[in-house]
Amino acid sequence: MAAAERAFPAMGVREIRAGLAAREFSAREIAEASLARIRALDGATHAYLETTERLALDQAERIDAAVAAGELSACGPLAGVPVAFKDNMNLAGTHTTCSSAMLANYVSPYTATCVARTIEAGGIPLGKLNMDEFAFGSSTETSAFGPSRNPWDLERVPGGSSGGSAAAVAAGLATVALGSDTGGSIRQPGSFCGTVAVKPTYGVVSRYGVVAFGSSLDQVGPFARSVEDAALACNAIAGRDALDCTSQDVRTDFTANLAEGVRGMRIGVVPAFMEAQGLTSEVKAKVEEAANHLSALGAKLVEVDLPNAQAAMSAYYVLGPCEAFSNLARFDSVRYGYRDPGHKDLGGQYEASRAAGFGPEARRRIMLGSYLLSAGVYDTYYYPAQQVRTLITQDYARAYEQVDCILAPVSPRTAFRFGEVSDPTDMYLSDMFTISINIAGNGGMSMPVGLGADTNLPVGVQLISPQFKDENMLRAAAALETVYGPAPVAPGFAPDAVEPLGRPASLPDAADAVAGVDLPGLAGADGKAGE
Amino acid sequence: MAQHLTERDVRGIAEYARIGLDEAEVAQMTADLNAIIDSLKPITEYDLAGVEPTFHPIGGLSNVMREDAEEPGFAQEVALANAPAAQDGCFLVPSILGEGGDR
Amino acid sequence: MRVLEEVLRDWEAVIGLEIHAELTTLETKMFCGCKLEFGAPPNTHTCPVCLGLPGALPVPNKAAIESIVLAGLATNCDIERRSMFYRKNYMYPDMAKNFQTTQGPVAFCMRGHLDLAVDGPAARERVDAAALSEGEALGNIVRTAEGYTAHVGITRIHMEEDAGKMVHVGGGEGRIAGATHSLVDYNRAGTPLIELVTEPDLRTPEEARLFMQKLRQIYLAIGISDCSMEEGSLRCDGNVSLRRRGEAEFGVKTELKNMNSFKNLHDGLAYEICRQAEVLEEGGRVLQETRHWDPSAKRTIVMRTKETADDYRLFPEPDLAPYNLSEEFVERVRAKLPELPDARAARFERDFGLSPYDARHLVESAEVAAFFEACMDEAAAEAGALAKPVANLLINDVTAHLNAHAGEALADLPLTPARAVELVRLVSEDAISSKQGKEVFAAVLAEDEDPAVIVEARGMRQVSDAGAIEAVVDAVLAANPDKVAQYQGGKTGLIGFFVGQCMKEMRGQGNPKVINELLAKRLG
Repeated sequence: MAAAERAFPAMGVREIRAGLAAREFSAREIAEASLARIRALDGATHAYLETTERLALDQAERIDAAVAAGELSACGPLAGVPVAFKDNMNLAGTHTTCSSAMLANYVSPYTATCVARTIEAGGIPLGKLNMDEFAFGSSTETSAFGPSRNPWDLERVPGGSSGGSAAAVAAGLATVALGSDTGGSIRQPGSFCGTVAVKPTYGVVSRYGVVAFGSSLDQVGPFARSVEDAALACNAIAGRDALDCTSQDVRTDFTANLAEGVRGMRIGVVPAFMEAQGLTSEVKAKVEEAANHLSALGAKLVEVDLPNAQAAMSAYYVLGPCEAFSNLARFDSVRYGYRDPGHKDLGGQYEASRAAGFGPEARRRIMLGSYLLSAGVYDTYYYPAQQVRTLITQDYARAYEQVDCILAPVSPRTAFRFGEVSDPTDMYLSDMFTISINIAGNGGMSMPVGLGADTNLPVGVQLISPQFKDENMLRAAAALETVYGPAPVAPGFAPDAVEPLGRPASLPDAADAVAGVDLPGLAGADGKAGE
Repeated sequence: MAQHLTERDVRGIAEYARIGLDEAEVAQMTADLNAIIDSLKPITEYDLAGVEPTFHPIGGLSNVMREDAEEPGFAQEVALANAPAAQDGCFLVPSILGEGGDR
Repeated sequence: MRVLEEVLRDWEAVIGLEIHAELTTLETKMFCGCKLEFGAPPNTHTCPVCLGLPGALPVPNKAAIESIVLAGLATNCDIERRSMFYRKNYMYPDMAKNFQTTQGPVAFCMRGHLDLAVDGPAARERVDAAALSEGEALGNIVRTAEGYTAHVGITRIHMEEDAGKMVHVGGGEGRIAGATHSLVDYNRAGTPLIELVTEPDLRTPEEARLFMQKLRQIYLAIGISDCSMEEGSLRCDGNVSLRRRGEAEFGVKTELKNMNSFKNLHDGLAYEICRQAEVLEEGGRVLQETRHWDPSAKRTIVMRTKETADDYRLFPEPDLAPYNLSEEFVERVRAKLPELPDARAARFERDFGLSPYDARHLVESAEVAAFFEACMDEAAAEAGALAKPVANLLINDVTAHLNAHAGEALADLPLTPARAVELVRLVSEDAISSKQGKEVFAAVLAEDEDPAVIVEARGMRQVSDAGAIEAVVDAVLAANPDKVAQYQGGKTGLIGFFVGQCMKEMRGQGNPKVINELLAKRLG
């Protein structure tokens, strides 16, 4: 098969690196074929909001030059890997829309640290990915630019808020995609789309340049189709960033113990989670199956109790909106963003611009946060929610005295149909197993374990690490991968699919959008990102 | 469902949050917020006496600061590149009066 | 409206101040590495952080934290080891994030105080101090020989960030009223700002002015700000209420803004006190409102009424780690504390025998105080004898000159410590009269020449020889027998006439002291 027709984004990191090293194909071929594949197939999934052709080709040129000089090893662990970014991550010269009409025309003048580090590690940036508006949602249905579709069933949601990231990886339109997770926004779409999806411990990855939703909850992490690829991506993006006060000096090699197996590991199971109302039998069965496999591989299963976990949901729906209310105040039509035309007074302009620029869910969360922080109400909800956070953190700390890692469901169910969940409070329930991890700040990930018995759709199980012990969950995930195999590209998008589900996409390219603005070259060119 | 907020309350919140809502939106928002606030009830029922709040999720981190050293910033045209309206190197906004004036 | 002194006889004013100082001596902003520069072209010192771009995060400037701790130590505050930043949420276009990063209930500096020495005309506004005898205390004041001292509590000093600057276009004189639009410049946005809040311990506009002056001296001494009131790097708001003398309950207060000079601070408060008294005396009610001092109209005008407290939705800033300052951090800052004005004044009293009044005024300007010390070095063995005249020269002549010539600094004047000492020595040795001294001072500044050379060139040497003067005195008395008779008849005020005549005869070079003595002897 000619290189240009190869589905590079459907390959893994190791395969790409080997091909580059053997000069079987060039980085330029990877970039061009990847962009061609997105154009051909993304019309079906709508994972991408924008492609970044010029940045991709610039990066490919750099890598090819290095390969020609025999310096592939100097290119970083993601050399030549097709990567893409959730559209709440700034990349200088490209749009950062957060899937909101508010930022439809916003072109960022700077680059997020996680994006810069991915590109510095050799990743070929393909574009920006769809999401729920400002990450408020669990389905990408709140995107102002239309939802993404689940590559396993185009009638179903990919999950959210990082639905575009999950869909892109599941459809083989990116090898690695970055997402962000505030209450489950990496893990839940990872589960719905059947990809490995990692939310590291809060503080492992810099949040600088990632548009904030809940500042004390948000964390960036990768989607990939293998545990090793996800771990390599973690290696690229983790670590202290002088531009984010809450980032920490992490020097873990996340790939180090992937091959160790789980013999001797103590893995916790939370009985209350398994009995939770709303947990579907097919998901429950998959979690139990995974537990049995881990046990068979030599792990010791231990029942642990998280007595305050049920309060996590209400704490989250206090803290998240409060922080979001404040974080989204900057969208005021003054420095950037949508400005409703024709207003002679600023007050009218504010109200009309924010009414038109924000979708219903964003408006709801802003309003809720504004109410919860108001005088008198603060002491009823916000302060107790922070106290509950202490209790939940203590719960996890106690559990980790007994275990190295906890196994749990990710989502109570598999991917739902568009429009199927419309009530906001029902939608919030899809995060019931993921939220407490953000509240406590631990690492958590979704590991695909095949298809559910009833819906025949992907199911992920959640592995939860102690703070700054993210290598524990990756180790357990790698063991499960020996049983289930690496996550496949969704059948309809597989390179060998008899009849691909794709249809041509008409995507804007960043270079078109910013005519007259000189796009920066590669990472660091903006002079602001990274250490 | 408990009536935590009236439509009048919601109008006040919208005014503070600077989001213009029409009558129908106020009614819908009032219903939505009341339902959500209802679901927050567990937080008000916990016995939290003596429990310290955790405002910053990762304990132990403190005194994170930078040295007082200049970093390159934006040229004026870059700063203004996304401005909906600009004039004389500044961001332009319509009349502020009636906005609560000073601070 | 009645005048202040009358009003204060019936009413007690209760005044608290909120004083903002920009940390202008730092290189960069509070939460980003953008340069601090006043007067740069608009929006040329910005970045994602201070423009509030989506995704940007703050990182605090360590030097700013050291500065506020230094300010706290210099104003007798407790340094709180544990504190946090908070977000104060409200939307205004000069605030890029639409929240101000500030501190919550616990600030870096809490529970400080300054002691003010109030004397001279400034003490007159405090009517209850007059009735006290020296050493007697009343509330927070203690009577002194020259006036009184007032102990003024400082509630807190907290760290925050300044907003951008706005220009209002289309209305009159850049006012917001009538403007059709406004222009926003974020160069100033994020400038490190410390806000000091006093207890409501001040009772007169003079005390408020003295507090502000003293604080400015301290901030200048510790070098944290240029404290330029014209450029807005030192700003003051006041809260004022009145209560009948003898009452314990506070009245309703108004908040006063735009008092951007020491004079405006005094006059604005004085006006507001009189205005409130008039309202109350006419049976009216003082409204809780923010008022703006208009120095040209000499009155305060309402900016807005606030019957309920503002709700800023304050909550801890999740993007910034909390503070847990170590003993070592605080001690390292403490080691940077220079000698503060009060300590310097005490040293001047002790070492050079200056009066408290002279010492205090010398240290009002660090530059003048340093000049004085250089003069004392110059005077060497004569330091004790020349301290008082050197202090007078600096407090009166030099300060008057500097006040009259805005923008000139003492260092730029042709007056060196050596010349200053030479000048006062000429006077103290009676080589020239004190009146001639003033002339020589002016000539030194104008001609950049040594005092002795000027005296020589102008033939100004004073005649103190009793024999020579005696002849003149006799001639003057002989020429005015009628005036002599009147004098001896009781019109002793005529002594000035005789002195003047003698000086005229001697072309101003007669020693007035000797002339006076001889006249007294002859007429006696």
